[in-house]
Amino acid sequence: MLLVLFRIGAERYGLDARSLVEVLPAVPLRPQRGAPAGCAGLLAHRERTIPVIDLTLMATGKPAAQRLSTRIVVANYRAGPPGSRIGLLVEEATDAREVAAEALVDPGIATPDAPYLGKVVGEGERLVQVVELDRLLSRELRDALFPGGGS
Amino acid sequence: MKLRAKILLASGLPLLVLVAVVAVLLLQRLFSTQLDLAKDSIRAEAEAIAQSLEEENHRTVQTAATMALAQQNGLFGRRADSVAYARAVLEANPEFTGAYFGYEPDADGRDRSTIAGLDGRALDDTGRFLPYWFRDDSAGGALALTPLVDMDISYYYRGLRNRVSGEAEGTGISLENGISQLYDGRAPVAGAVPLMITEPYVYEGKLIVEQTAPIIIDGRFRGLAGVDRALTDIDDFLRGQRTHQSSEFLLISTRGRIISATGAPDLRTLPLERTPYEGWLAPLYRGEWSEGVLEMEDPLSGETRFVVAAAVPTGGWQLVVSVDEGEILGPVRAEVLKTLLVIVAGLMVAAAIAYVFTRALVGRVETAAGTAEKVAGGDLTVRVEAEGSDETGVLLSSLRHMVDSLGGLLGRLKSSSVQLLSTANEITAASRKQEQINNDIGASTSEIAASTSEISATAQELLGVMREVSASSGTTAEVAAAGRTDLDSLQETMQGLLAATSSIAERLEVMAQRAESIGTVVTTITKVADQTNLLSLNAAIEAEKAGEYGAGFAVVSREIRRLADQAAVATLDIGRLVGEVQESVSSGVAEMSRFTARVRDGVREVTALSTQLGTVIEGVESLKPRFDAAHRGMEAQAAGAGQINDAMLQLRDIALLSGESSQATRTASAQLLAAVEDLKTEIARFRTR
Repeated sequence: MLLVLFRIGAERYGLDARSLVEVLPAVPLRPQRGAPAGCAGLLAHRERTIPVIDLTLMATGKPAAQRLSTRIVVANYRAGPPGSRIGLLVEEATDAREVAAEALVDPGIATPDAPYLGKVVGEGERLVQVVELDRLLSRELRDALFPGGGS
Repeated sequence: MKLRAKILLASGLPLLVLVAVVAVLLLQRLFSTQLDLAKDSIRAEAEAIAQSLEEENHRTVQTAATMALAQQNGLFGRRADSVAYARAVLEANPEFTGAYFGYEPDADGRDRSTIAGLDGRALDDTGRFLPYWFRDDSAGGALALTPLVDMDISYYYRGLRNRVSGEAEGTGISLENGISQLYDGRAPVAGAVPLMITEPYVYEGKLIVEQTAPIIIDGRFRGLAGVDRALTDIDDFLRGQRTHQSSEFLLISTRGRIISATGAPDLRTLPLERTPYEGWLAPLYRGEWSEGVLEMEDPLSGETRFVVAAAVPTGGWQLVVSVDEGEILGPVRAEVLKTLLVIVAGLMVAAAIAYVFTRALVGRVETAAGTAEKVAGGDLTVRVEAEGSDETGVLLSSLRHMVDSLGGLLGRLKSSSVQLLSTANEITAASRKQEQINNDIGASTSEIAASTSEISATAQELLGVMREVSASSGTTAEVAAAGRTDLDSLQETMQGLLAATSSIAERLEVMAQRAESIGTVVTTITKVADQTNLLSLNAAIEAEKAGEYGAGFAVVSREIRRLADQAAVATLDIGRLVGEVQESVSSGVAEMSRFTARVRDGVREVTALSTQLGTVIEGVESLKPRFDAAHRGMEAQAAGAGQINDAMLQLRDIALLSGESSQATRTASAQLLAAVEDLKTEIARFRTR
C-alpha cells in the first residue's frame, strides 16, 4: 500500500494513494463566503468545482502555512454523492511511502473528536498515522459541502 | 752734544758706513778668490804627481810589451839570446830591479834537448825556461840570474795567463793581505793585448811591482816577458814632488790595496777597507768621488784637511793628496788682514783732516755765542768785533747790528707797556660780566633738555609697546594662516573619504543586484524541483492505482522524487545564504549611506570653518599694516623728540663752552696784567747806552 505523506503540526500523516486523483500546487482558491469552518474555498479542477478542506485548520485551528510544499491533494470522496471529489489542503505533501498492509496497526486509543484518524505504521523513527477519508467530514460539514446526499 | 761732534758725525758717519760695507764685500770676495787659488794649487799638485806616476807605469809596462813582441817575432825558442836580451834590458834601465822571460812547460817542445847547452840558472828542475835577471843587493847590486818562482800562485804569471785564457784574473792566486772586496775585475791596463801590472808586494824587504806581457804565438799562450820595479822609495818620491809643506799622500792600486800612505807607512799593501781611510777611499774607489777639492777630517789625526784625488790610468792607481787646512787658510787670512789694515789706516787719516777743519770753524761760532750770551743777560753795552768775509764773519757783523737795534726797541717798549696795562683791566671786567650771562643760559637749556629727555623716553617706551603689538598681530596672522592650511588639508582628506565611501556604496549596490539575481535563479530552481516533486508524486499515485503494472514506474517516480528533494534542499540552502548576503549587503548599503551623509556634513562644516578662519586671517592681516603705520609714526615722533633733546644738549654745551671761554678770557686778561708787570720788570733790567 502506498501512502502519500503530509504533516499536521509536527506529526506525519498519510493518505491511501488509491483514493487519490492527483496532487496539485496550492493554487489560489476561490473563497466561499459563509462556508463552514475548515472549508478553505473552491477549486476549479478538470472542469469541475470541488470544495477544499484545510486539514491543518481543521485539526489545529490554525490555517496551513503558505509554502511551496503546502499542496492540494485531490481525492475521490466516496462518502459523498457518486463521483464526488474533495480537495485537501495539507502541509509538506512532498513524499509517498510504500508500506505493507500487515505493518499497519491499530493505535489503541479512541479519538472521538478526530474520527478520521486510522491505523499507524512505523516510518523510520517516527510513526505515520493513516487519515481515513470517509470519516474525515462530520455530517454537518458533509451535508454543507455535498448537498446532493450520500450514505 | 757739541757742535764740533755734530759736524764730524754728520759728515763722517755715512762715509764710515759706506766704507765698512764696501770693505766687508771686498774682503769676502778676496777671501773666496784666494781660497779658490789655493785649492787650484792643490789640484795642480795632485795632477802633476799623478802624471809623473803615469809616465813611469806606462814606460815600464811598455818595456815588458816590447820584450814580448821580440819573443813573438823571432826570439821565441832562442834561449841563449833571450837570456842575453833580458840582461841587456835590465842593464839599460837602472830604475828596474828585474827583467825576465818565462815559458810555459815545454812551450816549444825543446825543454829536454836544450838543458845541456844552457846556463842552469835559467831553468827549473824540469828544464822549463824561466830566466830572471835581478839586482842582487847582497852582492852590491851586481846582476844575478835565477829561475822564476811561484808562477802558479802569482798575478804576474798565473793572473796574466788567466786573463789571456778568459778566466777570472784572481783564480788560484795567493797574495799576502789579499785584495779589496770592492774590486770589480777591472783591468789595470786598457788595450787590445792584456798587459799585467801586479799588486805591489813585499819581496825580500822591497816593495815590488811587476809588469808582464804575454807571448802569444799561433793564438796560444806560450809564456811571458816582464820587468820588476821597486816602489820602496815611492814615499820619498811623492814627498819630493809636493808643492805644499803639509801635503800627505795616499796611493791605491787597481785592486784596492794601499801602495803608499805617507802619513801611515804601516798601511802599505792592506786592502783599503782594512784601513782607517776607508771613509775617504771607498767612495773614490767606487767612482763616487766628486770632482774638486773637499774639506774632510783626517781619521788618524782628527785635523781638517783639504783633499783632492787624481787618477793614474796605467796601472789603474788612484792618488789622494791631502793638505792641512792651516797651510791653505793661513796665507788667505793674512792677505785679508793686510787689506783690512790698509782700509783702517786710510779712515784714520781722513778723520784727522776733518778734525782740523772743524776746529777752525767752531772758534768763530764760539765768539758769536759768547756775545749772544751777554746780550741775553741784559748787557747791551757789549762791543762785537767783526772780521773775515765768510759766513761766520757775516754772522758776527749781524750780531753787532742786532745789539744796536735792541737798544732802540727797548725804549719804545717801556712806553707801550703802560698803555697795555689799562686795556687789560678793562677786558677783565667785561669778561666777568659775559661769564655770568652764559651761566644763566646754561641753566635754562639744561632744564629744557631734561624735559625733552623725558618726552623722548616716553616715546621710546610707547614705541616698544607698539612694536610688541605689531609683532603679536604678525604672529596671530601666521598662526591663523597655519590653521587655515591645516583645515584645507583636512577638507581635502574629507573629500577623499567622501569619494571612497561613495565608491564603496556603489560596489555594495552592485553586490546587492548580484545577490538578487542569484535569488531569482534559486527561486527558479526551487520551482522546478517543486514541479518535479509534484510530478513524481502524481506518478507514484498513478502507479499505485495501476497495481502491479505500475510497480516499475513507482520505483522511477520514487527516484525522481528523491533527486527533486535533494535539489530542493540544496537550493533551499543556497537561497538561505543568498538571503543572508542580501540582508548584509542592504544593511551595509544603509550604513554606508548614513556614513556618506555624515562625511558630507563634515566636509560642509570644515569648509564653513575654513571660510570663517579665512575671514579672521584677512582681518588680522589688514590690521598689521595699520599697526605698522602707527609704529612708524611713533618712531618718527621718538626720533623727533630725540633730535630736540640732542639740540638742547648741544645748546647747553655751547653755553657751557661760552662760559668757559669767557672765564678763559678773564684768566687771560689776568695773565696779561701779570705779563705787563713782568715786562716792566724785564725792561728795567736792561742797561742801555
